[in-house]
Amino acid sequence: MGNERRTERPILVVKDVTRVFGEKRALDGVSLEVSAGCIFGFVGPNGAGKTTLIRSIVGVAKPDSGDIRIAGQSVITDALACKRLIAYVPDNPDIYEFLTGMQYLDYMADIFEVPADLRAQRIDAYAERLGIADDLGSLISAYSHGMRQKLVLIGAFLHEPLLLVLDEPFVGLDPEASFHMKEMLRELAARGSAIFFSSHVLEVVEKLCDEIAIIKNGRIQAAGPTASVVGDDSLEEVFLDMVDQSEEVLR
Amino acid sequence: MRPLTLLLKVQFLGLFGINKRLHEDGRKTKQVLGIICLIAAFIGAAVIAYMACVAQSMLSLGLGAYIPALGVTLIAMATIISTFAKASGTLFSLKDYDLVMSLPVPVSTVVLSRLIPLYGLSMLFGIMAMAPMMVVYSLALPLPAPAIPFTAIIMLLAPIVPMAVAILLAALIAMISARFRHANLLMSCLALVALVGLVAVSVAFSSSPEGLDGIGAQAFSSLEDIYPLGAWAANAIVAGNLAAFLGFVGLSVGIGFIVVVTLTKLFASVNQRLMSSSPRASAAKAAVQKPRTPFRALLAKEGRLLTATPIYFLNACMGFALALVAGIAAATFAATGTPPMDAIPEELRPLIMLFLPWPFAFMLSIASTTTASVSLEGKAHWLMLTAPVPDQVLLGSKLAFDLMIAIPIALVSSTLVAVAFSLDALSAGAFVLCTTSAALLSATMGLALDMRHPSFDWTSPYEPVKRGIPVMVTVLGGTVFTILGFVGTALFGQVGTFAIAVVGIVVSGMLWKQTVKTNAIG
Repeated sequence: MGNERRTERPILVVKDVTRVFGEKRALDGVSLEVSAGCIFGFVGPNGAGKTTLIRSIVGVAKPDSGDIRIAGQSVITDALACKRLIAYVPDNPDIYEFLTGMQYLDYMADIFEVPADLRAQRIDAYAERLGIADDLGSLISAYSHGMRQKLVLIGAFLHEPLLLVLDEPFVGLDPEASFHMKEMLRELAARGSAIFFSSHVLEVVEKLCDEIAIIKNGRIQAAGPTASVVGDDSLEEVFLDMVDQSEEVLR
Repeated sequence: MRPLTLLLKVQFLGLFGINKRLHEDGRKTKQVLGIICLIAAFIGAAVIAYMACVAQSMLSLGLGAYIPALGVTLIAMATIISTFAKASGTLFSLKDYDLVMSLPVPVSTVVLSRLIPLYGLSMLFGIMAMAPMMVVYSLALPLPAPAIPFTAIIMLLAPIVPMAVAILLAALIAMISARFRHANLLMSCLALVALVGLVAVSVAFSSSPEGLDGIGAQAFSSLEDIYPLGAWAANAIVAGNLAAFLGFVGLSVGIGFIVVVTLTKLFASVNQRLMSSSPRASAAKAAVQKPRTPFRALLAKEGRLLTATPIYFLNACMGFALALVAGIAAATFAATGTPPMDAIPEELRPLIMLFLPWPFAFMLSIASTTTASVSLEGKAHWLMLTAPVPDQVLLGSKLAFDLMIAIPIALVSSTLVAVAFSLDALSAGAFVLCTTSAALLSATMGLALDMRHPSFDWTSPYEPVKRGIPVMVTVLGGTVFTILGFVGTALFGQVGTFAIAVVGIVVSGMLWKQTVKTNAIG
């Protein structure tokens, strides 16, 4: 599980981020760091603030206060520079249905300015690996949920992002694709990128991630290396304990 | 009855994103709803006034007897177009098919809940179109006693048969589209050709040497042959013919019943077949393209969106096509000498030349691709939001794509008219400036509005394209711009023309600057 390429160089730094929707504090002073080469798991119950933080990290929504830095650059003040370093995989693979799979990948490669030789090489490799090479000529409207998910993943890997942010990336993937996906995440981390992903599949998070953070009611309940957060229990037990404790405190 | 009411209520709450807005900001909702009501009232009043004028003109040309038939035929045409455009997404290929069909509700109720809004829309238009014509008719010509109840019932039933035809056509095309990769592009082109054909035919009619009266009577009588239901309705209303009335009612109700029963029987199987069909992939393995700049990639994506979405294509390109056809028609008339230019009275010629730019400006100002291009990003709008591309490039690609179509059409149609009417340099310059200004204004206004009021949660592209606030406000803005142009020209001559055109360009520049600065989507 441990990644040899992990360094202390932080790629993602979230500092005191707060986001309020009406009466609800979706994020309440959230701080965390993800280093180069680290696969970081972000877990929490529904409505805990996971997607709100992810949307803030990728520059889609602005927090009310606090700062988010990617490789030292602030998402708040220079979102464009940060977006160049990021790839985002949302929880639903909603993409342009009027394009073919290849047209979508070309579009993503053009937007992220991936050179011709690299894009051809990467598209071939990832599409073969995830088993959709023969479907790239078809319109996305004809794709299943899983195929769309694979296409979004390939699009995210095309420019070798410094930070890959994924929201529930394993939903809809078949077991074989899920296996390849985990391998691809490990390889990307080994090349020095940071990976930040949220998931409800706690077994996967526990096995795959170097570090974990558990969020509840907009606050980080626990964070750190997976082994130290989990201890002798399973992540599922730790998670349920923490959620219960947090509810008791609230009561 | 309650399930039907609930299904209808859900669809109603989706209109203009009413429910979403109600739960977001109550005050803002009231403002938005107020604007929508105002625009709807304005458009409704304009349609009613226009239809009354048409009826009055027909009476003055001695064609009054054809008014009821024309009314019914207009309802039929509007119903066919609106039902055809809406059937896919409402009756077929619905996004919420699984959800709706898993409810403990009979299929017939589901079908009815989908048909009622289609029927309601057509009926509303029918009343707006036919009622003012019939009021003008009844004031001028004597009507038999049963004419009023006959007219009321005929207006209510007139949309049923055309709806049946449109649903049948839409189902056939949906089945073919599901199998054919470029079906949407083909459909868009065919519809545009049909539109151009319609305009060409009407222009040909009006240029006939036999004169409007002769051609009008000939055209209207052939209308009755083409659409016999119109003749039955006319016979029932004008002559009080009970048999014709019963025939009309019987056929409409009978076909309506058959449509509901058949749709109930086939609803599940047709939709399942559509869902399980997939367009064929190209035989050759998809190859990587040559790299493009982000701007060019965004432009290409806008192009694919336009050609793959027939309702967007038709709505956005209608004005462009009309301007181009009008320009070509003017050049053709000048080249062939029909109608002869000297048929226009000498004293009227300079006046016509002076005002001529504004109808062209109107065609170019009432529609643009930008009015829905942000909203049409739909649920995939996260791609736009996370793209590492400056707002100027992102929004600029949407603006540039529209102008890449609109400006050449403005220039070509202006040149054709300038050559056809042998305009002097100043008049030709005014023409180019007016049409370019109109195209710029409509593009920047559409983009500014759609960026500020995007609707991403649509289930059918029909929603942002046809019901969107930016679309309606842009149509209204284009109309106001043209009216101002006419007034400016009437008051100050060519100086007024230039002044209003320059104001349009300046306002466009300001709108674009504001749009990029506001950055409401990013």
